[in-house]
Amino acid sequence: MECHTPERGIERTPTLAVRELETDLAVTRREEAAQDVVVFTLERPDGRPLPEWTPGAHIDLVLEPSLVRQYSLCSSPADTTAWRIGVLLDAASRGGSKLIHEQLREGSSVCVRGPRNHFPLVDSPRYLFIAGGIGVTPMLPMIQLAEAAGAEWHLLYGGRRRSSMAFVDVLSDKGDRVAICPQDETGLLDLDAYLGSPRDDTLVYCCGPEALLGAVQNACASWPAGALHFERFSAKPRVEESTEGALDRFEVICQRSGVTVTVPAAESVLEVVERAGVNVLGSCFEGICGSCEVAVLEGTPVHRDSVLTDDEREAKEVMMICVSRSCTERLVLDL
Amino acid sequence: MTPNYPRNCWYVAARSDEVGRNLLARRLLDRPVVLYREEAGTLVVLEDRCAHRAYPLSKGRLDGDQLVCGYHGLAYDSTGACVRVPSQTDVAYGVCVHAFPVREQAPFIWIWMGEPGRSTLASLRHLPWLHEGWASSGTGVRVAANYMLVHEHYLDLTHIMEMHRAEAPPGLDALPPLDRVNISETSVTYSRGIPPSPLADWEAEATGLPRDRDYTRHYQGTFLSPAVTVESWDIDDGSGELYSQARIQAVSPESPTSTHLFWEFARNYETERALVGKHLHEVFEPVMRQDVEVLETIQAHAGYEAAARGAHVSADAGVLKVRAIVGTMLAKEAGPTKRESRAANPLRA
Repeated sequence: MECHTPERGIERTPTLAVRELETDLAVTRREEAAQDVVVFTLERPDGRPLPEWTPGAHIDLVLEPSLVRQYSLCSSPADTTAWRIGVLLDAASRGGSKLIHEQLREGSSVCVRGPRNHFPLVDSPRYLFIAGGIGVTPMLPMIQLAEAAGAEWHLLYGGRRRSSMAFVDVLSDKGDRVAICPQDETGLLDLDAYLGSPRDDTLVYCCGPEALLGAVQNACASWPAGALHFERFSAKPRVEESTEGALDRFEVICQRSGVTVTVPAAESVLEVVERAGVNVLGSCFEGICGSCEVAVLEGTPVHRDSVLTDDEREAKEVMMICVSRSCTERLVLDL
Repeated sequence: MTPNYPRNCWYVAARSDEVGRNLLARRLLDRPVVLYREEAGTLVVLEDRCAHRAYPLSKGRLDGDQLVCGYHGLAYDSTGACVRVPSQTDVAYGVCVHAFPVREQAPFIWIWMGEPGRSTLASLRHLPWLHEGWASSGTGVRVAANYMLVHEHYLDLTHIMEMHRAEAPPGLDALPPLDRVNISETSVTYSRGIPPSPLADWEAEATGLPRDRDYTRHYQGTFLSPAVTVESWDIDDGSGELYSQARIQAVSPESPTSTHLFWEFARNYETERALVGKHLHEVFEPVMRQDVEVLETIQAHAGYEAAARGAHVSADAGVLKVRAIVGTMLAKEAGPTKRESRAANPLRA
């Protein structure tokens, strides 16, 4: 599972190769953290420090060039010697988590890209963390930071069964700040008790399966704009209206590099500009990882990603060029 | 302008050799601080403003490990607590000045100006060029320009062909484009190979390499945090041995329009020969001062915000990524109501 990208960019490229940090790391520890959940500790083989990151950050595991999976870092941001990730064996796995569970052992090498962060912890005097299942992983460093900053916080943590819920032991030490709610013991999370009365001093951070995100989003409908932050595991189900007005063909002008291309129906903006020699970042190619975010300088994008918040979609200042398109004949992008 | 520097970051407050049993006054992130060492050598950094009548404590004196204000004689300990009010028996309740978290890794003293608790989750940046296998020398200067102007200057080397022709590799018309920019959540690294060319005078004199042939160089720069940018310049003699030098720029905002630049020049060869270090310092300190002059001119002429609204070219890829990293840090500190725009837009500005 080592990095496949050639060390130098292909020489024909007239513009700059921007890449995310990509490196082979060694698995130094493998722990069964709960039923079907394995926690891996990753370190640089030469012991050099790893790049800094902040709570909410995730990394890519590049299992094969076309098999890339995102996992939240769940270790301490103060630790630059090792990263930890928790990986759930997904019954509906498209190959990623199965391969990781079967093949990554202590001593294995794995190609890692990032870290990047689309779930940053904004400063606030009070936080409510809501986690479903393996969605608890980004909450661990967030809780550390909230405590270091002297903020008040609570965690509502749901899962199918207690035995399937990772990190229950460390979280139980936090006393009544943490509510651990296995569905077979306490039923569905009582979101109304926590979110029923909007508060303007509290930010809500939620990570978990789509059903939980939807329920939290509904429960937060009357909360102040910007209060709710969430991270998805996988692409959001496609909403039909989001494709409304999207043109089959449009022109893209890459402002910095001075390159103009036409994007046809069958191809993404990312594919077309990359072929024209404009180097762009891309990782998941399905609008969930956020690495191909580009600023829109002119024109109106049609968003089809699962990264941007409603406010950000409305602002039309940035777009994910792996999936999003245009409803204007011309888009000028900061490329 | 609104301050554009994150508070939750370790910045260099001073060089180690500046701080002893003297009282060093410095303004950082628009707050006055005073630095000194206790008798046992422990560093202390306090708010430089007596809690009583706001007189600068740096104008007072040290009495053992206590800092005594030069106005009414209130004395403070290393935690910032007032421990003596000369005119009364007991100390007035709760009188104190802020004590900043501080760490030392020579030649730099680092300070945390944000919420103290957060410092425990942030580590100091790894600067191997200042330690084993390297020799370095440096200096500190005050730059009358926003700290991002300083970073952005060092994030784009293409100015050297116009500004520092004598130090650039001879025979090149322009620097080749960057061949790689590597980004992570908090850092940006950019590099370029330089086609073979003869040695510049300083390269020949410092390395002692023969001048009768061409050499390739590799340039790499890294934005490590809003507090520090490092560049390295490797000369390859063809035998696999690299003659490496590094410029470390610790960039500490003094105010929204001024910066303390702690500049350090390091090399990994002839580390025992002080004359080589002296020579490199004598070549590159004037280069740094010329850079500072340009930055101060831009600040006086237009200011950082106007400069940042300028057009972008391909060589700015690193600068733009750094702006995004700093923008995210600022947005987090601003809280939910004052969310910054995710993207700087030169055409819509």
